[in-house]
Amino acid sequence: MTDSTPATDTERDEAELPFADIVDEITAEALRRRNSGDYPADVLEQLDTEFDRFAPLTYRRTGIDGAIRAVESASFINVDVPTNASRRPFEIVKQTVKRSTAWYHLHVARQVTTLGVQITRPLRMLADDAALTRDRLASIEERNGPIAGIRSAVAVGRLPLADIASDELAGWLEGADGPVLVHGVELEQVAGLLDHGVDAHAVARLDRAEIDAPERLDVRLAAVDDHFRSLEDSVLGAVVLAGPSVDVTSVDQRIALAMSALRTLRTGGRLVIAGSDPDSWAGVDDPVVDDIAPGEPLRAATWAALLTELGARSVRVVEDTGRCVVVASSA
Amino acid sequence: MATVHQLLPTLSPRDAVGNSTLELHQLLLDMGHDARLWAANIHHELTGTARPLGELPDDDNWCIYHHSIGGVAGDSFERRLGRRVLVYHNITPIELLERWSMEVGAEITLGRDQLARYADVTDLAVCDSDYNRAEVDAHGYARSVTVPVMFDPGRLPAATRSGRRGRGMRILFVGRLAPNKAQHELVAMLRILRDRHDPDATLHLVGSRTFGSYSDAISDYIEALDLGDAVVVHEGVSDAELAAHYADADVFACVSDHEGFCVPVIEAMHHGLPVVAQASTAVTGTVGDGGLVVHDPSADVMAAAVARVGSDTHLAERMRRAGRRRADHFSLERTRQAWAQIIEELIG
Repeated sequence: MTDSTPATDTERDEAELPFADIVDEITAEALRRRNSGDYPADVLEQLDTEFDRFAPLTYRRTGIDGAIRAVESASFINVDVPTNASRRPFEIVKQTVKRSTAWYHLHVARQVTTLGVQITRPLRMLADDAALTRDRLASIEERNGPIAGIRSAVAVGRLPLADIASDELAGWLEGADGPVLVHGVELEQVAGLLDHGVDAHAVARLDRAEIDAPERLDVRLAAVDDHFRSLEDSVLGAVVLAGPSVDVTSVDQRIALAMSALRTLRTGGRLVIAGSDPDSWAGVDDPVVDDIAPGEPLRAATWAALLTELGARSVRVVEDTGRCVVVASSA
Repeated sequence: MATVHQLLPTLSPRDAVGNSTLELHQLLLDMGHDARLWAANIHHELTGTARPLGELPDDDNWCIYHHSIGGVAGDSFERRLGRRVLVYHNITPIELLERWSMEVGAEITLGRDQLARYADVTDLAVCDSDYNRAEVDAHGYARSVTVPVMFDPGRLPAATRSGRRGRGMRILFVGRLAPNKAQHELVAMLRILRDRHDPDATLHLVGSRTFGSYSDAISDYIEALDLGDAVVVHEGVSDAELAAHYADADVFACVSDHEGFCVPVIEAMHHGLPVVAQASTAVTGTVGDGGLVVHDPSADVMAAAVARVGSDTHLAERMRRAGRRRADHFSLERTRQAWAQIIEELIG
C-alpha cells in the first residue's frame, strides 16, 4: 500500500533540509578551497597573529619568550597599508595617499621598529639570565633531591669506615677540651680514644653499630646530619669527620656537614676532616660506589679553602698521613 | 500563599538573568505568592521593584537564588534557614577572561567555589540548559532540572526591513563585547567572507563595550584588517532598534566560546533570521535543529557557511521556518508552564 497523502510544508522541510549534511558539505568545500590554495591556511594564522598584536600579554599564557616575541611583533610596523575599498574611487584615493606618504611612513616605522628592538634586547638578556638561574637551581635540586639522597645512602652504606689508628686520632685532637664526636671511623678505634683520656662518642648507622660497637663506647645510632640537627650550638669540644660521609657524598652535602660541625663546636673547638686520598680513589673501592656516588674525595687544599670560607680559623693540612687530613678551629 | 525571596547579584532590565528574574517574579505573583526581589546591585530603573540585599530578613521562607557570578548574594543564599532553589545561569571560565580583565577573576573563582559549596544546601538546581545542568550534576547536586531561560522571544516591537541596507550581505551578532563571545573571530570571518565571497558584506555587532581592553582590541583589529567601513558596533540600542537590526540582517552568526544559553539566538530565530553558529557549550543545544551548527572552528569554514546561507535564498527561507519552530520551543508560555509546575510541586 502506498501512502498518497501529500507531504506538509514541515514534512517537506525535514526531508529536504538535513542541516547536518549541509554543514558537512560546506565544511568539505571550505577545506577543499583551503587545500587548493584558494583559502590559504596561512591566512587564518595571520588573522590570529594580527589579533594577538592587540591582545594584552599574560606571562601564564605565553611564557617570557612568548611575551618578548609579542613585543617584537607589535613593534614591527607594516608600511604596506591595505587599500581595499568597497568602491573603486575610494580605492584609488587610498592608493594615491599611500604612494604619496610612503616615505614618511617608512621613516616612522623604522624608528618604531628600532625602539622595539632596543626594548626587547635587555628583556632577552634578562630572560637568558633567568633561564641560567633556573638551570642552576635545577642542577642543585637534582643533587640534593631524593635521587641524590638515595645515591648517597647507597654509596655511604657500601663503603667501609675509615680505619684510622686511635693514636693518630688522639694526636690531631691534642688540646681539645670537652665532648668529642667522631663519625666515619672504625668504632674500635674510636673506643681507643677513651684510653687517651678523650671524652669521645661515636655517631653511626644502626647496621654498623650492631656489628662492631665496643660496649664501653657511647654510640649514637643516627645519620650524622640528623644527629647534628638534634644538637644545640657550641656544645662539643671537637668533631672528627671521616669515611664515606666526607668521601662520596655531594659537595653540597659535605659543606652542610662541615657547617653543622662548626655550629656545634665551642669557641676554639677542633674540627678534623680525615678523608681518603683522592689519588687513590678510582678503581680501588666498590665499583658500584665508583659509578653512582654523587661525589669523590676532595683534596686537602680544597677542604682547607672550604673551611676557611665557612669561617674556621687556624686551618692546616696535616701532611704525610696517606690521607687527606685537615684540622681547624671554630671561631 | 507562601513568601518567596528571589536573590541575585545584579538586577538589570536588559540582560538575560535580570529579565528571567523579573519574569519569574511576575509568575510567582500571578500564582498568588508573596514574591520579593533582593539584589546586591539594582539598576536605577528597577529601584522600586527590588530591595537592597542587606535588608533581606533572616526568616525560613523559600529562597530562589540566581547564580551567575560570585558575590555576597551567594553568601546570603548559603545562610538562609528555609528551603532553597539555585537557578544556574553559568559562569564564564576564567581562562577566557583573565587575559582581558584582572578584576573579574576573583568574582569568577569565587562563583565557581560557591557553586561547588552550595550542592549541600540546595533542594533543587534549575539550569538554563543541559550544558549548565551537566556542570551542576558534576558537583553532586541532589536534584536538578533543565528549564530554559524565561523570556519572551516576541517582546520586541514588530519591524520590517528598512531601506538602509547596503548592497552586500548583512551579518548580525547581538551580545556585549566580551572575550567569551569572541566577536574578533566574527571580524576575521568577515575579512575572509569579503575576500572570497561577498566584497560588500558587513558585520553589525549590537552590544555594550563592557570589557574595555577587549573592545579596544576589536577596534584596532577592525582597522588593521581594513574593515573600518564594514564593521559597525551599535551600543545602547532600544528595543525598536534591536528589532530593526533583526529585520535588516541576512544571517545571525554566533562564534561564542562560552554561553550558558544564548538568548539572542532564539530572538533571531523568532524574527525569522537564519542562524549560523559554531558548536560550543550551550549554543549547540540552543540552536538545535533551528539553524546550522558548524563544528569546524576555522574562520574560513564559518565564512563559507555564512556565504552559503546568504546566497542560497531557498536554504535561507527553510532555515527561517525551522528557526521559528525552534523559537516556539522556548516561548514564554512554555517556560512559564515549566516553572509553574516546579513552584506548584515545591511550594504549593
